[in-house]
Amino acid sequence: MSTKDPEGMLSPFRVLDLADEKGFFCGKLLADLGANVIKVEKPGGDPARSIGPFYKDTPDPEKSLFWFAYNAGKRGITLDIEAPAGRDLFRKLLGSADFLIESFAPGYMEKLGLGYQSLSEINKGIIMVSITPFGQTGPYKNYKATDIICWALGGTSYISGDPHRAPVRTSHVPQSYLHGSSDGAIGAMLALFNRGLAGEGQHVDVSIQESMERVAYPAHINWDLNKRVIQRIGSALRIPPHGVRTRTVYPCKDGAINFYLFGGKTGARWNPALLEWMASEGMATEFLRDIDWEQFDYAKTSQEDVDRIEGAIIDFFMTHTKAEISQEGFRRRIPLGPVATAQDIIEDEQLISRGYWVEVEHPELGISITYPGPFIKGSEAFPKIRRRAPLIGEHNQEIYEQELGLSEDETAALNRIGVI
Amino acid sequence: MKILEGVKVVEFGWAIVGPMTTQFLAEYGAEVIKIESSSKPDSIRLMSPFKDDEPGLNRSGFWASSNTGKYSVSLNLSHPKGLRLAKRIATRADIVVDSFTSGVMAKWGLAYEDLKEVKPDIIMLSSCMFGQTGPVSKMPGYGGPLTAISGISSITGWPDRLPSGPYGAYTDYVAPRFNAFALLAALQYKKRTGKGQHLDISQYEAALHFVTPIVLDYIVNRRVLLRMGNRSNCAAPHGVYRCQGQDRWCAIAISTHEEWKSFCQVIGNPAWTKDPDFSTLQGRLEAGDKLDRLLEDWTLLHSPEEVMALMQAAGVPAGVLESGEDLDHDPQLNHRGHYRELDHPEMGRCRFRGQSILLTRFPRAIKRSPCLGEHTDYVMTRLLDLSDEEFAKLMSEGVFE
Repeated sequence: MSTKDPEGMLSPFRVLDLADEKGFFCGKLLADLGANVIKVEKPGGDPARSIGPFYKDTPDPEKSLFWFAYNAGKRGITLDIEAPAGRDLFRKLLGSADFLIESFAPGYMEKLGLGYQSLSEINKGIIMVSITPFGQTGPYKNYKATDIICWALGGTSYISGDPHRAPVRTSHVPQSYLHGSSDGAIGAMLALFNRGLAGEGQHVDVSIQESMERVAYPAHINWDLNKRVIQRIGSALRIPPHGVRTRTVYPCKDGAINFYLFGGKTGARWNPALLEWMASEGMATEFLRDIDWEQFDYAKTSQEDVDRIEGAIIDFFMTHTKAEISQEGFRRRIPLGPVATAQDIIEDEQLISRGYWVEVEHPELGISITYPGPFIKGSEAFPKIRRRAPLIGEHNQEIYEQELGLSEDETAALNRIGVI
Repeated sequence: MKILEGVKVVEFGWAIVGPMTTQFLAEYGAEVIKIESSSKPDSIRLMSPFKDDEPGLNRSGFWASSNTGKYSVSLNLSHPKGLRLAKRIATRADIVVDSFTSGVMAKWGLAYEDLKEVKPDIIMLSSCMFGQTGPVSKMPGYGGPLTAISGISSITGWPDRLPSGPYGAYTDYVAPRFNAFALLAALQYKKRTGKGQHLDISQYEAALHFVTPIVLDYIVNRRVLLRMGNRSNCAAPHGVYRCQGQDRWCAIAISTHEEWKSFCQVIGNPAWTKDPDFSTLQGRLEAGDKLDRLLEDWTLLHSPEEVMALMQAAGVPAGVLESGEDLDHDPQLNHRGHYRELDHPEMGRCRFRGQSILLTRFPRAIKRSPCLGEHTDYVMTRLLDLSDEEFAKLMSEGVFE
């Protein structure tokens, strides 16, 4: 893994990114691979700049960490595509673009005369990627949705959470948008591969609901195969036929550990290492030591016995911290993991040893910020963050004047009438 | 004609991540050959649920769900001749995907360097938990612990309880998307430069892109953000509300003043909605549980479908929490052809799922999953040009076990 193309795998390609928070990550992925991605915002800035958390907790459109995270690597312009002059300008920009990413309500772009058909008449190679909660067609296409609604209708919430409370979604980071956006990036690549053959672009239509269904599919296959509805059970598994509950998360001294005690062959291979460790500290109970793991089968075990086994492991984990358990656990090759917080992740030795983290300059804040590194490493053309996320209208001059050839007077006039 | 017509892929995968990666390519028309072994079958083939609760190597729903549209070849990699055939199949391909623990492919002489010697422009993707290097690179594992290690668990569940989700081996459904994207970009790069490459995906490093904001928050604000149930910092009410029926729920999310007004109207403008505390987003955010309880008094009188329909008609984001059964009947998913009912030789009639990506120039083409070794004969005699005699001889030597 030595030679690297400084340009990136997608460096010849230009992307216009009109998407809101539902589709930010699609353009980010293309930018990581070197595509020239231009974030097109409303004059005044994208409303998603108000999504926190914020740098130094200061709510400010230039300080949203959510914005930083998912628009890094893009340049930015402002443009009002609802204004006729703005639409004209947009059509000009489109002439040299390979991809257009958008996440407006279905029909909105057509209404502006900017639907796929019209755009393909300007640029027959254009690949339009639409990332919306339900896709461009169907009875729910006009339904309004945010992340929690996509979790609901995609089936993921119903099976997530503690049994005696409401089902949950993941907090803070809208997972459904990231799944949908990643699928958008895959769709963009599929269409590009095909364009090579035919020279013609196409419309890529991603439904976030469908992306989430692919996370919730265990619920659907249980229904499809056996007409069984599975329900949330917290961090645990329910074992047929008696419904014994077996935990996947254990408390420890300073937090929690993800660990599953398997039975059968897997248990016979993995469990002795834990038992040995517990024994070395005088905490392997007789009950545990007497179990023949190869023969052990949850389907034939009572809840009472499962609780006894898990109780002994809880007692043991409670004497250690997350860090101690993962370090010693890994040394002993026990497949477990800490329930890591952002702090644990930053301090993790594996990531540090792989040189994962990258520093990105934020000159206007006078600092550089540590970001997650490439999502993949390659022997050619590493993905990387080429620049921090754009400020509002940061590249207006560069793109409108230097690249599109407008005069200073023309951009000043567009500015005056609020188009850019 | 399919989009990826002519692209040849070989998968040395097991469990979920490798198989789901190549499944993307298979669905859009690539030829994906999955190398399996009937003497040491993929552990997922042994995992429930089985069709009609009847165990069988070809009856696992999990396996079927991540392997549609592939050719299955049974090959004994402990047999030298099996290994030689594996290398022949691999070097005939454009893309090789492996999802074994770091070092396993090298032991078989199927490492990137080995394949590259025969086929210089091969693209290989190695997907494992922690990447091919670093102190824990050889650590076995699976998506359960990795979901915790990558920070997702810490932000899923209730603040006063242990983390409680998301369901399943969540990162297993994250990594394949990065993998498929990277492979398609690498194909594009090869087209442009003639160069193949080795892609090393750490499922851990990829998954961290799904938690970037909380990582940045720790970096700049030194704060550790943790799970907060269904709350949001920029919408209220925002949650999952109990409805009429047994364990039935509807999600509602109100971000703007306009949505709040419409919401109040839908529920008939009861007196409590006039409480000045609720007139601003800040006030509603601070009201917390109190507001949720008032809202739930109303949702409890309706089915989740009613709540969703009434709210959506008024422009308020709302959605039924769909169970597996609800997904199966979902009018939107069915309208888009997300599921396709097909006959499987052993499972019978089953509904197989497609990806979320529709393309205007190509109709969906969802296929069924293969039985173990179903295509051994076809792949060996048609794609590798073994003669029938050679094939029979190798078969008798146990090469295809």
